[in-house]
Amino acid sequence: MFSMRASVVRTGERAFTILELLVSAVIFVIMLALLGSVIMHFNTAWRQGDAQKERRQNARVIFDTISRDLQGAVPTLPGTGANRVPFQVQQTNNSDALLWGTSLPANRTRGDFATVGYFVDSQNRLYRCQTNAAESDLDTLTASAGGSNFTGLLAENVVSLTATAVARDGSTNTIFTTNLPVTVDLTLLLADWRTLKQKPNLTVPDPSNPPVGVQVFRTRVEFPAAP
Amino acid sequence: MKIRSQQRGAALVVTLAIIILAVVLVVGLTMAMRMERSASFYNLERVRAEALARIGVDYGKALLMETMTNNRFWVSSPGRLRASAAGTFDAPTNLVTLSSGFTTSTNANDGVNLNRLSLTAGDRTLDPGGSDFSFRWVYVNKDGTYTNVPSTNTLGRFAFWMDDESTRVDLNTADQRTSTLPAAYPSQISLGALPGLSGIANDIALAAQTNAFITPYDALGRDSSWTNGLFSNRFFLTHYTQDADLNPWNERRRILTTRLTNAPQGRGYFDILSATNGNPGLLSALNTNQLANHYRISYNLFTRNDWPYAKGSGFQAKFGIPGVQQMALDVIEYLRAADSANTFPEPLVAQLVGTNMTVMSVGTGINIIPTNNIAIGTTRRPMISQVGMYCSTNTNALGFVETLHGQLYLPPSYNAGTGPFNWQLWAEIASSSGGGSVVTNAALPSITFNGTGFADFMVTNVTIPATLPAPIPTNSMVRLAILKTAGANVENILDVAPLVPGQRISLPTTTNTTAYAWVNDPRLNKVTNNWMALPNLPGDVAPPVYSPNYSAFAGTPASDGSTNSLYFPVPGSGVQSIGDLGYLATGVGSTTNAPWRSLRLQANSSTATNIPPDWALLDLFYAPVPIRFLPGINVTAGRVNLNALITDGTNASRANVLNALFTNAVSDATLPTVLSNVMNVRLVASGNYGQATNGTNFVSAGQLAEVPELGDQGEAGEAILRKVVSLATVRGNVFSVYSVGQAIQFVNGRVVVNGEKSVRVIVERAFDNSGTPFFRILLWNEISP
Repeated sequence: MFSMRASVVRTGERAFTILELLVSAVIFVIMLALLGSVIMHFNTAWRQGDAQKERRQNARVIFDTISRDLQGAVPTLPGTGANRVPFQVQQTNNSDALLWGTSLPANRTRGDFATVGYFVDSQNRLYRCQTNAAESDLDTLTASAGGSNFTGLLAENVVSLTATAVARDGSTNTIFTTNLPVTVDLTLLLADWRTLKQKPNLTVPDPSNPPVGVQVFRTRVEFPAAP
Repeated sequence: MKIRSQQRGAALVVTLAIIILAVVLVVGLTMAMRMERSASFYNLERVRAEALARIGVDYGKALLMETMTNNRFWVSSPGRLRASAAGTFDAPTNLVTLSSGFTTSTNANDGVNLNRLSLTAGDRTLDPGGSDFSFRWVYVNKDGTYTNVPSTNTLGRFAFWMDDESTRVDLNTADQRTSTLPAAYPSQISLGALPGLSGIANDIALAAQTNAFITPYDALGRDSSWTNGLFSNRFFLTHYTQDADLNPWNERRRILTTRLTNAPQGRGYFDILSATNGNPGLLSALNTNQLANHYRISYNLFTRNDWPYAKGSGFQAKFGIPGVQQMALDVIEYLRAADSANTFPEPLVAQLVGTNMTVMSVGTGINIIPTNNIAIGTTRRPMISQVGMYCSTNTNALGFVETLHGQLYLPPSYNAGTGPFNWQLWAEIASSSGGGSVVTNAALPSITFNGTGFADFMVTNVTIPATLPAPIPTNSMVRLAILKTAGANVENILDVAPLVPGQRISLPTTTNTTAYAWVNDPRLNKVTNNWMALPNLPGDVAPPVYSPNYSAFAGTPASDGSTNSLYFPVPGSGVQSIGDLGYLATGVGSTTNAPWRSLRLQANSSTATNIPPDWALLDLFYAPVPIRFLPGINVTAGRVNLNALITDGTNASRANVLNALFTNAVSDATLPTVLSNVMNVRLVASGNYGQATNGTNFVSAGQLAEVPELGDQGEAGEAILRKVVSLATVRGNVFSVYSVGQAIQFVNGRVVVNGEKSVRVIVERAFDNSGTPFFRILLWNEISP
């Protein structure tokens, strides 16, 4: 009875006043703004987190892959004059390309020796090249196709990859024809896809102070077969 | 009512939609999380398995570091080392297992088969012709402890086996045995002796010279026609070996060369030349300080009394101190003769007192030699073997007229060529009645030698002083020398007999009779007592045919009654093999006469367990090897370890590798027996030097001299030894660690494997610049990706 009566009462009430509407509208807008702000913050945080996760995953994969290849790097065998595949860091303005000879799981017909190389193209893509032949030049390695050669995409959104190879005496060189370096310091500048979508020609003049959306990763790889 | 009912229904729909959305989101998130977690878990387990495999490598490396130190004697073989106690150089009686332990158990929780079947063509991963090869798991617990069985505390396990790379044929050095290369050259090991490689061995060797193989299976990818042959032989092949190249006390051996170019990478050699490119055959080119230094090193080594093979005494117990001194001198002389292009190197004349050697300057005359303890080097030169004196009835103002006869001996096996050579004779003649006064010491007419073994010379109208009236003096006293050319500068002395001034050969002087004296072994002619009288011959007659009695020395060690110990290499050809040391004449300078005795690299060389066998000398030096293509930081690659037996209960065998070493050096008829004897370390009864028990391991490559069908074959066996002993070793410096790591969980009594990593890592015992050994990882090869 009470509900019926109340219903009757309510249906019989007049509409809201303009003031009530205005107040309610203001409150709604404020709440909407607050909600929007919260959502925006959440969105930003999620994007940043997602971007960071993407960069870190990429960094882990890249370092893991390169490190495993470096671990199998084969040293000089004196008497041949020089390494069949000298360890090389081909420096460019933006990224370094790397190339060396390594030992991979043996294949019955191709053996276990391989030349591997890494380079970053102009589209911020990091490639890994491999051939079971001895190649001392990255251009030759990447240009050759078919057979045992392949060039595969390892990661995207790579702003730059730089390498510093250190010899036993502490000097840094870009080519090691007679001995492997002792360590290689790898510096990786990674962006996420959104950042590069917004800034496709992104460059980082100062790696120590990267812009938002770009993260610096560093690792040092020691050569087990170093002299 | 109706309106309110509709409102309530809408709320329900909205609520349900939200709940469904939430459930979908939660389920999706959960699935994503599960996948992420699973991926992360197995990635972590993969890393953990890799770390566990690395433990196996580190464990093996630690075993090497523990045992292959500089303060103990050790020998290596696949899967095991034998070492003496730390701080001793005793027999290597301590067995060190270079694995986690062989097992015959087929229980997967007990061990792992390292020779498992691969996925392709039924090949096995390690030895394609072998059977299962299982090694025990070592379980690693969360607290870092190791156990033999898994538990809930276990986080992973590893197993490993270490192979001695020197028990394989080195692809970078092997080729085929030829007569044109020195016996020490590692290409004398026949790659073509391996099954299926005979047709391609030369091509492979040629490819290795152009571009050395730098990974174990590098060669597989070079030529498709090599694939099957190399793949099926991969258990017998390696791309990298290094012999430890140490003497029994872990000092680096000296290379038997005077040439820096034959001693690369800072290795020790006989650096006795004043100038690097000097002629070692010339005395003037030698650095006397360095000569003395190398003499001292050799002498000290020869007289050590703590040989792992036989403790108690050194070589002086066999040959006497003078004999050891002469040996130390003659090692230098042998390699001088080998390295010099001169047909006749100038022999060293030196005073040897204990460890000190003073090279005598003979530039002002033979008679300046001031004292005893004088030795003359045994080298490629003619030697005075007979001398005779005829005394006529005529006299002149000085006394009786005599004729001097003589004979020189130059063995054809000295490789001096056939001549003719022109030498000057220097003679010092006195008479017993003349009180030893010299009647002539002038250079006499030249002698021509035709290279047939010996040459006569005759000098007439030699007079002795008639300081005393008749009757004729009882004896004529003679001292002779041969010079390369005439002149006062007697640096070019080739022989002096007797060597010591004041000592002369005594010849009975009777008119109308020729009195002769001879020396059995011309290398001993420097000592007066070694000259023996022959029966007097009537008239003035030429020397009788020189007929040395090779069996004059009957005791051991002795030569076999031939001229096998008379040898020098072709001038300038270098030392061919470490087995050349068997040519060292050990009777020279001995306290007792010991003609024709040389180092005996044959069985039963000695029955005394406290005296080193003759072959022990081979462990002190090494023959030079050109560095053409040999990899590594030294040039000891390619030698094959005689301890090739795999004792870990598998049927894996390295007999093929030993076959590559011995093939074409041993006759086909005896090759199987020799291989069996070597593989099983089967020695003659008395050849058991330094063994823990017979049939376990070789302690020296020279111990091949104790192997039946080799060492008991006389000089023929020694000739085989010279071909193979430089290519053999018992101490490898490079090891492959085959290690498997598994990340596991122990759940409800069952082992669950979450990740596995299998690697082959090559560990090398290398040397730093100061000669201190260190261990480095040479190659890291992942067997499983």
